Amino acid sequence: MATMCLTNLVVMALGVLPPADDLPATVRFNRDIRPLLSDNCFFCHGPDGAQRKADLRLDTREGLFGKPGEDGVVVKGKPGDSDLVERLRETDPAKHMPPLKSGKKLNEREIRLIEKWVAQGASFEGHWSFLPVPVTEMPPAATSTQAIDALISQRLAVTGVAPAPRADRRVLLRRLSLDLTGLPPTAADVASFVADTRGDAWERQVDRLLASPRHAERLAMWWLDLVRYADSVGYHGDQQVSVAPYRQWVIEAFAANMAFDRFTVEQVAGDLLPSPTESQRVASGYNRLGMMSAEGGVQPREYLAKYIAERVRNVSGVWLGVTLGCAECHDHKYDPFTTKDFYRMEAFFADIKEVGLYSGDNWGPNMKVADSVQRAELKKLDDRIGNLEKQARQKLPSLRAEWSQAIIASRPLLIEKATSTGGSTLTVKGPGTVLASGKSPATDSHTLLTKPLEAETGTLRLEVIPADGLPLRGPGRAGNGNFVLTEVVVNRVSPQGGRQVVKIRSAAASQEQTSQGEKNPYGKWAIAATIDGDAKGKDWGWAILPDAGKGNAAEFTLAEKLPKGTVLEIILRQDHPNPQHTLGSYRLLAVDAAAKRGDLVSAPPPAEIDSLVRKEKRTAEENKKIEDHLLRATQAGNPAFKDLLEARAAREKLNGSLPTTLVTETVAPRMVRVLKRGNWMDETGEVVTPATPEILPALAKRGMQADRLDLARWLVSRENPLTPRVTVNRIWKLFFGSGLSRNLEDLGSQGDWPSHPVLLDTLARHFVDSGWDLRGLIRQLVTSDAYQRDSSHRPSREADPANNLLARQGRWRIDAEMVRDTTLSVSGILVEKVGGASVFPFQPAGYWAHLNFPSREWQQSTGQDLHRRSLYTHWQRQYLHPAMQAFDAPSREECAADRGRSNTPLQSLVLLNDPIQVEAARALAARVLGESKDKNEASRLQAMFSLVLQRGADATELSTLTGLLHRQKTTYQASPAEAEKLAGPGAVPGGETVADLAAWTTCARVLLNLHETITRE
Amino acid sequence: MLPFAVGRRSFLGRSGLSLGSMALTSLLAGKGVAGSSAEAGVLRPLHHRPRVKRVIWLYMAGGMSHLDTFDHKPTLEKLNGQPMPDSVTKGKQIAQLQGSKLTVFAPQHPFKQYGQSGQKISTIFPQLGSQCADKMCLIRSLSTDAINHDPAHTFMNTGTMIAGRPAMGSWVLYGLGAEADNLPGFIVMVSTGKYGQKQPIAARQWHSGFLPGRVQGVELRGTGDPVLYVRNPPGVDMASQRGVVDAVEALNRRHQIRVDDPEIATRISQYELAFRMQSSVPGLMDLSDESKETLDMYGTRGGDGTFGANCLLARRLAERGVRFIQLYHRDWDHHGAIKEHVAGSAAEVDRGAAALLVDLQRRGMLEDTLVIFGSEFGRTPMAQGNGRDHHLAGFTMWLAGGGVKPGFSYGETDEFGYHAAVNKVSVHDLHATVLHLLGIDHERFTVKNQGLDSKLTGVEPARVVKEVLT
Repeated sequence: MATMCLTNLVVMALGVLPPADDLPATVRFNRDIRPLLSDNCFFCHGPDGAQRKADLRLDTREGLFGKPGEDGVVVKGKPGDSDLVERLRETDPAKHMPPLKSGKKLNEREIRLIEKWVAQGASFEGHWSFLPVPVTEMPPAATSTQAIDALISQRLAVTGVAPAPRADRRVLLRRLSLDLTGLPPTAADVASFVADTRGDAWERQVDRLLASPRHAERLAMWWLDLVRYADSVGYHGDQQVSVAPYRQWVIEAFAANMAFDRFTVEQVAGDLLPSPTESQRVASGYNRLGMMSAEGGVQPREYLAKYIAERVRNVSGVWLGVTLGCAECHDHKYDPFTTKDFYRMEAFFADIKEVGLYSGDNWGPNMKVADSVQRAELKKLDDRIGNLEKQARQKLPSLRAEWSQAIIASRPLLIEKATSTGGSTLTVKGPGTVLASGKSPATDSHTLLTKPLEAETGTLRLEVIPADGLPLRGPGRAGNGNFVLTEVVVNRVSPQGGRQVVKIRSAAASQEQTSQGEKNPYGKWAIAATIDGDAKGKDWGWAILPDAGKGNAAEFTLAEKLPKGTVLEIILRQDHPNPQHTLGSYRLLAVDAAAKRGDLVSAPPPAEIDSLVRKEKRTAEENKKIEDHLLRATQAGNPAFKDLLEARAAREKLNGSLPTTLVTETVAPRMVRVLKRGNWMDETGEVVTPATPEILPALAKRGMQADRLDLARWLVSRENPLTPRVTVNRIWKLFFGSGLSRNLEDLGSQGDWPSHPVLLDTLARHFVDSGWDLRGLIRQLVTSDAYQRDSSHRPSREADPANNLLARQGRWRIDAEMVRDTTLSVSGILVEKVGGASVFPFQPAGYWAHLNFPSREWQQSTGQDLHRRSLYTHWQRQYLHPAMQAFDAPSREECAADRGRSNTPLQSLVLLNDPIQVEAARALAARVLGESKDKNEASRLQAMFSLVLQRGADATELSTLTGLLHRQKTTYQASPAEAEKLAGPGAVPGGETVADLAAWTTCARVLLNLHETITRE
Repeated sequence: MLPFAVGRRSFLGRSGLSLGSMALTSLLAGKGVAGSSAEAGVLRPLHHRPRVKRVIWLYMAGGMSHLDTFDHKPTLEKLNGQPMPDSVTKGKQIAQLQGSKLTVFAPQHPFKQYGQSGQKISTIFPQLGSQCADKMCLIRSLSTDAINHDPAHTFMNTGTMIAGRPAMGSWVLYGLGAEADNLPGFIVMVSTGKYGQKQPIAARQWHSGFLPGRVQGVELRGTGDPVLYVRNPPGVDMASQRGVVDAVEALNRRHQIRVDDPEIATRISQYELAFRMQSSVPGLMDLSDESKETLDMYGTRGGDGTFGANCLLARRLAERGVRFIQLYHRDWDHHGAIKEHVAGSAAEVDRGAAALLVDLQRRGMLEDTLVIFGSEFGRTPMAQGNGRDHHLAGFTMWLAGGGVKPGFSYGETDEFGYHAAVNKVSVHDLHATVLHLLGIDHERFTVKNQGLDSKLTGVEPARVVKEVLT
């Protein structure tokens, strides 16, 4: 390659014109001309209106050829009359294009190409990837596997490059196994394939591997990069977040070969499908995989803008393969996407329930997800609860009567006047019912003057009740719905207005908060603290977490019975130093002196039940309503329902142990504006509604306004030209090493013209026509002749170094996960268990030292979880596992469509010194010593070679290893302590010494470090 | 010399990473470069004569208060405790003080004029003031785009708030290549103090983004193995390790004969570099060859992970040819008790930073080294209790070393220290200036990514701050 190009360059530099035939016979706009214009001209003469110079566009028909009746810069057929050519040939630097200071320049061949295009009539095409995928040009009988080979052969024939022969069977199976499963084959797999003389031996291997659960895991690795799956939130504190059930969903979807259109819709809009299943809701977690922040000082609006913009980048990256993100701040420089397009895409995601600033462990909407065992157990408990409830029903009528008595005995205290010292607005919403609104003071005290008591009263009851408008529906005004009632004072008011304290003998509550009670002298947020005269300090009082949004009640037994007609003044003090822990909504009741009160305070029933109970006459239906409520809200400790309560508690416990996963919940969409230059503080931009980019086919909407589900269906609609091309192109890369269009991230103007455009379109069309059958697509690729060619074929490498013609296969270093998985697999310690929570295999201590909020240390897993496949390793965005990072695994902060394949010294250090590599080497050595029947050194070395590389060692390789083995044996025999450090304590298999095992471990290390071991050939 | 822009498209084929103005020599060298001991850069020759060969960036993570350190504002003293004028703050982005009453907060420590240049510096930096004022070029008119730590760090290091772009160190290493053949070319060290909330620092801050993985920053750690995985496995001495590396290389060579894959040659050279790193890192960390006087000057005996120790290591790295060295001190987020805390943090870095400048100078290395000192943003002139909040509109950084005017100051904030007011310098301007000193034209140093000719200085215009250059 180097030599050839150099020749070309020298020829050009010397000003010698190469023969005219180095230009294509027919110049095509999209293949030949558009890339030149895009690279050199579009920045100033492209889609971005703000950047455009001289009001000239070179990316449209009108711009090139002029509006009807006007001259354009290109005159078809006449290069000499075309301004475009003239400016490129211009010698005056002031007029020459591109301008000198742009740093852009077209070379002689490129200019001649443009001239030839003009001379040939300057036919114009829209950008290829935005045009509809044409109906396949192949004869209908041809399968697309045959089409692959036919189209590749066609180009090879034209260029005269001979295809490489088929690779040998060992290489083939190694290639296929690594490509399809991410793991090498076993030596036995290879042997059986080599021995299989049947005509369909290859297809059998393909189908065997496609059916393997390992295949689904391998595809998941690919997909999780795109959708930026990670186990931490990414910003600032990079706190952990639970989304593993989403990963499991992806693996299961690939295992079941879910159609790619359904796979898409369920992720983008599973929550909007009619009655979504649990699995569809888990899939909708896709929208929630972006980074989130809990950094204090975050302005929520700024981060809401960041989150929603990232979603546009991700969707356009994953499905459309275009860089729409560029249009957040300015019209796209190269593709016809406007800033408005960007924000209209944002509007599709404006319904996703989220906040800008997160806190605590709450990362927004989530759900619990049971696996099959847990699901069965839940079902069993549900059945039992159902039966017990049926039995309980029989006891309900009598329970209802008893319970109703207690309710009727407490009547709402009519309130004359309610005042707040803190400046809250207190509104009497109904009998005894008070709502605080308006200013939310840090601390408060409510004084409630009652009307005369309607009956003799011995107990006062305070019900705190949820209400709309309060944080999390209250009942308190703190952000988390809580309050702290620090002191309660009851005064008798004489007709003259005098106040006399009524002593409270005792107090009880339906629930008292225990969390964060460590420093509380009561050990919890006890109701007792409200009647202690602040003996232990005024900070302490009654609080109710985790019952935000739920009702609770407290009862205060008075030391005396108050006669009917008494007027009371009730003071509720809320002095807790944590600001705004004040009461939001409550009701006061007086309990008849004659009523019997148990020790237990029952929580308030819903208002509807309360008023039903207080009715004098009820229908049977109304009684049933009350009974239904009782059954649901069975009071703790009621002996009549002991079994039921236990069953419910067991269900609750199991439910509590289930993993959660973030899901998408839809709310009324927030307003989306065009943000000028991406500035979230600018509120002057146009308000936009959801729409797809104008240049692409229209979207079909179900209602007045398009929504996320419409978008999801549009992404995989037959009309969308991008999704199938993008997906096929990326799948092609998994099996050939690079895309048919090399730029996997961008199929737009700055992307690359495909090496085989008809092939890409044929496969894309077939992919859609097959019902988006991903496995079918993969099967077509790997059964093609092109897939099975030798990768080291020298003639084709010399003729076509970049392998644009696909005369041979690619060879490359396997991905990060596969490097470790291969090590574990060949040494026999890989644990093949599918799914579950993320695991924490070995990681160097202190690697997380620079994380904070909170500071934390990697908690290493134990047992099997040390040796799981790497796609299950905890993915910390800010500190990705260092061995994975060394091999180019992305942080997954953004969509990652194309991993690098670097070759660095840090990779060598990982393979040489990572304890997991050493552990695997030891296991591999022990495996060989234990399994190999023949104690002969050479056979053992051959056995080890075969485990790792599925081939035998040649004489040179054998002699290298034998020499090393002997030297190492001598070394370790001389220092048994060192041998034990390397080979570890414990029994040595095969009756050998520790020194032997150490020496063999060294040989195993060599094999695990080979370039061939981590190469897919 | 052959022309620069030659049919890149046909030439590079579809390498995925094609370089805007890459020199031909390195293109043609291709994989051969990787085979040599030190990695060559892609900018050969450089765009212009470089003034420095390397960068040492002393990064005060958390947001050092410019108002208590390098930007003296008597007006704040005068108006201490009074409401901040609405005209200054109205409609501006505010972090934790959102919705609070904004009151003026005086500088918490006296300032003094130091050196012949008479630069005004807070007395909490006695060493930097007395020994280095005449070496420093203060820029008091920086502003940034991000008001929260995480995006502000990312912006300062990569020129954008969106994750995934290369850090400046990676750009520099990619362009200039490495000098050292036994150490990574981009090294990061992190120290922690006792006075701020420890800033989380993401590895993203030294990630190579879309550039090749080999130009990623490597952390040199204060505890545990200095470089991850640099230590031999238990029971393996250097001779045995050499035996393993030799055998790996022998077998790789054997395989290369079979398949003729140029990646194998690269792999072999990377094993060599890895092995050399295994030997050179312990030597790097071993300070026994430093004089007592030097150790005293830095205030360290080594091995303690302090900022002072890292400064000494930075000099040792610079001597060994490391291109880009970044030292984080993640202790500057002073929301409360700033009087005590800013003095504490300053004391943690003052001696080491001053020692580094003095030491570099007396070894003749300051003239080809650029030292950068500063934070991701500044802090508010308004009080947050007895501390200060994050502040993006104006703050101070300083440069010292080759090509930079010594004992000089440039730019001003307004009388409240709020807005950069005179000779404003953006983060992109700073980046352009640093690249310029290294011999790189920021406009021409581009790499194709996601269809754009991406550059460190982004799409907005940026300028080299020529006024601070000699």
